[in-house]
Amino acid sequence: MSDILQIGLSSLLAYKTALGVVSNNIANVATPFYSRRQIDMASAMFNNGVQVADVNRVYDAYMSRTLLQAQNGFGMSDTIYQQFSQLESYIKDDTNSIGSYLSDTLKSIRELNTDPSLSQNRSLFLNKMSILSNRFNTIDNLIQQQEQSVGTSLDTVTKAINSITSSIADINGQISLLQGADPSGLLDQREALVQKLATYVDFSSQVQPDGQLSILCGNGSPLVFGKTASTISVAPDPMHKNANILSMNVGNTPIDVTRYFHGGQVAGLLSTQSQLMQTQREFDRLAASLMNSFNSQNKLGIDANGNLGGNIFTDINSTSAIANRHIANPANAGTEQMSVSITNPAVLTASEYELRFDTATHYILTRKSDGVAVNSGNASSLPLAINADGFQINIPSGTISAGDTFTITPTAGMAANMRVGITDPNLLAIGWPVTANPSTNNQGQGTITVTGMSDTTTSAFSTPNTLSPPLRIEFLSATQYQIVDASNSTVMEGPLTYTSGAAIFPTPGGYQPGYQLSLSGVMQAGDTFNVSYNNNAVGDNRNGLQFESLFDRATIGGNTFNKEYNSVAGNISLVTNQAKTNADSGQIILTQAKSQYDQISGVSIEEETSNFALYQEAYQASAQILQVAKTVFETIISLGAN
Amino acid sequence: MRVPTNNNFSNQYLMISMQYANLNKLYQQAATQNKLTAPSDDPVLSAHITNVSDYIEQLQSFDQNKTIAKNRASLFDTSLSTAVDTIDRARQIMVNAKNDTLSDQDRASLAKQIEGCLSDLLNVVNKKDASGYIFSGTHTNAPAFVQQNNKYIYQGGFDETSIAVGINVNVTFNESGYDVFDGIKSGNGTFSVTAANTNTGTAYMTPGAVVNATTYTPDDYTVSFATNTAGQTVFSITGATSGQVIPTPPTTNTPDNCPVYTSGMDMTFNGLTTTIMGIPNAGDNFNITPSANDNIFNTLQQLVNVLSTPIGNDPTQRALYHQQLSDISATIEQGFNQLNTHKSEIGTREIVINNEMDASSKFLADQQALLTSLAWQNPVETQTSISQQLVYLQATQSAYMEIQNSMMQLLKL
Repeated sequence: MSDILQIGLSSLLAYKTALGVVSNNIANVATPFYSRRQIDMASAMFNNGVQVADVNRVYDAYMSRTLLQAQNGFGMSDTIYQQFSQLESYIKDDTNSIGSYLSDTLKSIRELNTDPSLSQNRSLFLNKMSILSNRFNTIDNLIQQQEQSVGTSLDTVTKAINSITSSIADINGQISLLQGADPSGLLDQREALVQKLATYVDFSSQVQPDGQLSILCGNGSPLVFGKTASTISVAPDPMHKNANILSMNVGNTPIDVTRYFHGGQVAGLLSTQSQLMQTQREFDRLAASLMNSFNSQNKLGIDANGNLGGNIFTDINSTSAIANRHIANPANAGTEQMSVSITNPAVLTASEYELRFDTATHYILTRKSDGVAVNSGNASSLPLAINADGFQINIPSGTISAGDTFTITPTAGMAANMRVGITDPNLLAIGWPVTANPSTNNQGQGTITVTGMSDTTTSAFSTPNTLSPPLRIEFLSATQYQIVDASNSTVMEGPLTYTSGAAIFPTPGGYQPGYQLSLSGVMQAGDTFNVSYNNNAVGDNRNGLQFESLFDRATIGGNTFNKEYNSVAGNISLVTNQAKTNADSGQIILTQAKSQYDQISGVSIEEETSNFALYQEAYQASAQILQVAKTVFETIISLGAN
Repeated sequence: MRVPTNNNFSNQYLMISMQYANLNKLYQQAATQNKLTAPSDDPVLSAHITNVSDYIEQLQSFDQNKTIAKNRASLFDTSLSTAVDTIDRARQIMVNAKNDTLSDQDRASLAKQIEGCLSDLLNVVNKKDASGYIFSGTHTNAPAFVQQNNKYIYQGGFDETSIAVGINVNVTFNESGYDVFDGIKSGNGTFSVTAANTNTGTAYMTPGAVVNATTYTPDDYTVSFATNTAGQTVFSITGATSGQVIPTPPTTNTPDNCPVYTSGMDMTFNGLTTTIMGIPNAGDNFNITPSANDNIFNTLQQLVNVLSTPIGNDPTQRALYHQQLSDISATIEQGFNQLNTHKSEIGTREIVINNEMDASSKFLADQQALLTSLAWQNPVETQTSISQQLVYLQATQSAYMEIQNSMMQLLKL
């Protein structure tokens, strides 16, 4: 028969332990990633009472992994959403958007065109263009600030990562010292750290046979291996302005691990960083196109002083601009001098490009957005000009070394440096430099019209304030005319066949003065028309009307200014919307993963309370057993005494 | 299923904070009455709204121009109406001036009236508004016509300017005064008939007309009168480049070979015809020259000069006077037609602007209605949603209160 005393004693001890475990569970109800302990009772051998077979740490590695992934996903999308909803609110401000400044500018031109002689009208237009360029500067500044804030966040996050990985390494060390003692407490702490780490980065992990946990990042480099943790640091990106890379010290060599992160806040920040650079390039491209269109148009007209117009905005291909559109890889061995000029803003892309010399005599230019090699060729002799997508890379001198790479951003800094370069509103060229009129004695009813301006750099405009040469169109008959240099009455070309309404230039002989004329109506022999420089035309708004029509032209990749701006701003909204959707669903997945994890490992007060009650009852009952045993003993002893 | 305690609490927090977020959005919608609090709420709808509001913005950007253009067009309209009326007045005066009973004084007073017409017409052509002179083309800071060396000349620009009043609708804004008031062909519009100052007879010629455009040969023709051996008045015609026209070559041009003149006969040659009346003397010449271009002001000034030249009772002077009057009258008729043509053209301009105004205000109303339906959040709907959301929030809160109560009861056991 069993020993009642032994039974009572074992059960008293067992339930005391059990009460202890339950109390510990209750005490840790709010401890993050505390895995509840479960007590396993077993009957003692030879029916000799009960014993605590094991105290389990209830933990499911699969649930833990699911939760890690959920942390990764939410950490990333939530970061992008936070960053982009901020950017969106800056850019899509209805009253302060580039879109509304663009239409203000258009309205001011319309107003100017009703009276170009009024200097208030000119000032207003100039002013609106200033405001527009200020807005571009501000937006670029906001993007730069956000790029910097992304950099700061990256810094903070990597510090947190480093602190977590070093704590995990410490815990690994303590676990290895336990020599078989219960590691549960340390495991809970480590789980909390690992889960925290998953909100920052994605990684794979493996428990080693000695209980130490190794954590590897995407390329297999260990973040934590045994008792040692690697340090991740933020460094300026040598190939981009305002961008950062992450490097990890493996041994003593820092390696760039930026591209291996695909989850957590780090990936969110990195993705935000590249999205911000993309947005910045899109605004740069819009700015370049605007500046170039307005400058080119102004050059086709004459200003209030009767002179040919110049640039309104600073030149998009100024010396400083063309020198700052490439970034050389610091590792380059060559000494290439380089400049990048915009040749056709209409076909510029918002991508960046990589120029790589695969050998010392051959280059490949790759568009980064789609990875297409847009140009490649022989680079055996300098100077070298490389053309692609509306820009030209010039390498006048230097040495080329195999493996040299450059990041080319054809529109770099355009939005940041957009400025109105003139202060005198009289320099706005609202009229056209050419005027044409019929002679007073024409017998026919024919009319002449200047229909367009295409180029004022031709010889026709080589002398200020005069047409070189002024022309006289003389009709020899109703169907034939000749073009005469009006300054010396020599025939330049003719007889030519007259077609009513047809453009005159280029002439069959190839004369193309940079303006266009159209003759129409019934002519008679002897009718003449004079074409001369347009003096005193203070009310001329013909170039002003062209300024208006700039807003209807497809000047950037098939879009008008407004459409392009809407598409850039729309892209930001799309990214924000996508990030929000991902963050919302990520939140749900995370909540589900957490509750699945907690359903297994979390402490339930209800459960613990009822267990507590059970163990308490059992404990008290066990005490009763001892009481009974004592009574039995006393009875026996008293029997002996009697 | 085990429900761990911290889950209870974190779920509660999550549910309630989600409901607050929903409420917050509804409050924003109620405050702004906009469906979207940020474009990223619905990028597709947002893009649609942007397109519509851009279009509205575009339509409205023409508002000011439309008003300015409309004012300008009606200014042109009244100006040209005045001009046409003034010239019509001059025509009436000319009808009176043809009356042979008028004395030199009477004609001088008619000259004064024509001077009045001239100055009225100059007022019209040199009219300006806030945007400058309206008939000076691109030279908006200078009057269109000025007098220089006793001649009126056009000093404006020949290029017209236009302004935009709608998408792809431009209307002329500064008119070239030359097109409207100048370049008027003298005489009948093809040729002009004048008498030589040395004439001694009393004959005069009508302005004539082109009868056959294909055979009409522009030239300086001289009609000369002579007397043949029979004592009859005969005439011959020669052209500066055509040479002898009548008598028809190869007949030699001697008085006896020339046709005999009768008063009121038609002279038809080289595609033109004119009628000659009265009694010419031998040695009298008439010239038929291709029309020259001039402006209406010089023509009126010429008329003033003719009317103020005394002719007394000299029949020769009177014949000359009639000849001049007939030529000027024909010229003024040309000017009258030219102005009338421009008047109707400018009338259509006002119609274009009015049509554009009607169409765009209709478009605008449609687009604004569309914008409202896209972007506007009905406040009643918002309020309903807010009440609904508040009920959910209370339900959630009380559900969690219940859970906590039951737990407290469990702990009391």
